[in-house]
Amino acid sequence: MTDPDAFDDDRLESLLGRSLQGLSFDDGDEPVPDRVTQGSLWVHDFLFADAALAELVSDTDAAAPAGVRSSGSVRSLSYEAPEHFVDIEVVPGPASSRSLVGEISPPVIGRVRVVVAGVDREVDIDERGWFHVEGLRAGSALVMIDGPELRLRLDPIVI
Amino acid sequence: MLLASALDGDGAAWAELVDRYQRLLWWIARRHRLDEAEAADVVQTVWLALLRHGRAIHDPERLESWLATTCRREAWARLRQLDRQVPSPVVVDAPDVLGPRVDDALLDEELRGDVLVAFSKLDRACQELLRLACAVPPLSKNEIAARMGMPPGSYGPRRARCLEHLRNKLGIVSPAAGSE
Repeated sequence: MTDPDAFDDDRLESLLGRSLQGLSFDDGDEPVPDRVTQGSLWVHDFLFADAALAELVSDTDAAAPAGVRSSGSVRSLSYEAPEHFVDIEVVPGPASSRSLVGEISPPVIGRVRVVVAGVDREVDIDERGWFHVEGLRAGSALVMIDGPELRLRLDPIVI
Repeated sequence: MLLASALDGDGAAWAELVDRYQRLLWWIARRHRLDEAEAADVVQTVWLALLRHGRAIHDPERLESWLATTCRREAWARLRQLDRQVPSPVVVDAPDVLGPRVDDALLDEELRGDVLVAFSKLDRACQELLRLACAVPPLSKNEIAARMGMPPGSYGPRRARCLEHLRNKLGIVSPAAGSE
C-alpha cells in the first residue's frame, strides 16, 4: 500500500465505496455492551482453563444428510471425557432461542456455565447429574462444567 | 508480543487485546445489519478464531486487519445463514482501483478490510461526509452539502481533507506529496 498514485482521491473514494457496500449506519456509534466484552474475555479463560476436555463424539446434525436436517428438531450431542460422559439435547424454542437439557454421568456436584452470543448462563447440576439451561440464542456455545472434584471443558459447538 | 503472550495463556495480555479491538469488531459486526445477539456471537467467534489460528499471524502489524477481515467473513456467514442479502466479498463490476498489478480478489478483500479499519478511526463528521460521497445511487455535491449542513463550496475541500485523513490512517503518502 505504498504506491501513492493508486490512492488518489477518486480511486480511494471508489475503494471506500466498495468497502462500505451493504453496511448499515443507522445506529450511530453505540458502545459495546458489557456482556459482549465479558463474553470475549471468557473465551480466553475457557480455552486456557485448567480443565479436562470433553470431546464431541456424536452429533445427530452431523450424522443426518444435509437435506434431512431440520432447525426445528431436537439435536443430540454426546461428549466423552477421561472419566465422564456428557449427553446434551439442544431444544429449539421460539424466536431462535435454544435450551440445553443435559446429563453428566457418573453424576457430579457442580454447576454448568454456558456462554453464547453474549449471554452468560449458569445452572446447578442436580443429584442425578441433570442440568437444564434456558434462554440461549443460536451461536457458538462455550460450555464448562465446574465442580469441586471435576472441571470439564466441552468442545465448542454451534447451537 | 501482546498476541504471543495472549496465545501462551496470559489473561492480562488477552484483556489488553480485547480492550484495544473490541470496539472495532463490534462496529463492523453491527454495520452488517446484525442484531445485538447476532453481532455478539460474531464477535465471540472472531475471538475464538484468534485463539485457534492466531499463531499464523506472523506480523503483529497485521493483527488489526486480520481481525477486521475475519469479522467481515463471520458477519457475511451469519447473514447467509439468516438468508439476508450479503455484500459481495469479491470485486464485481468495480472500477480499476489499483491497476492491473493488483487484481487478486483475496488481496482486494484484505485491502477493503484495511480501508474499513481506517474508516472506523475517522471522526464522525468525516465518516458521514465520505459515506454520503460513496452513496448508491450517487448524491450531488449540493445534496451532500445540504445533508451535512455546510455551504456547497465547502464540500470539495472537506472531502479532500477527509480522504487525506483516511490515507493517513492507511499509512499512505498522498499522491501530491509523493510527486514532489
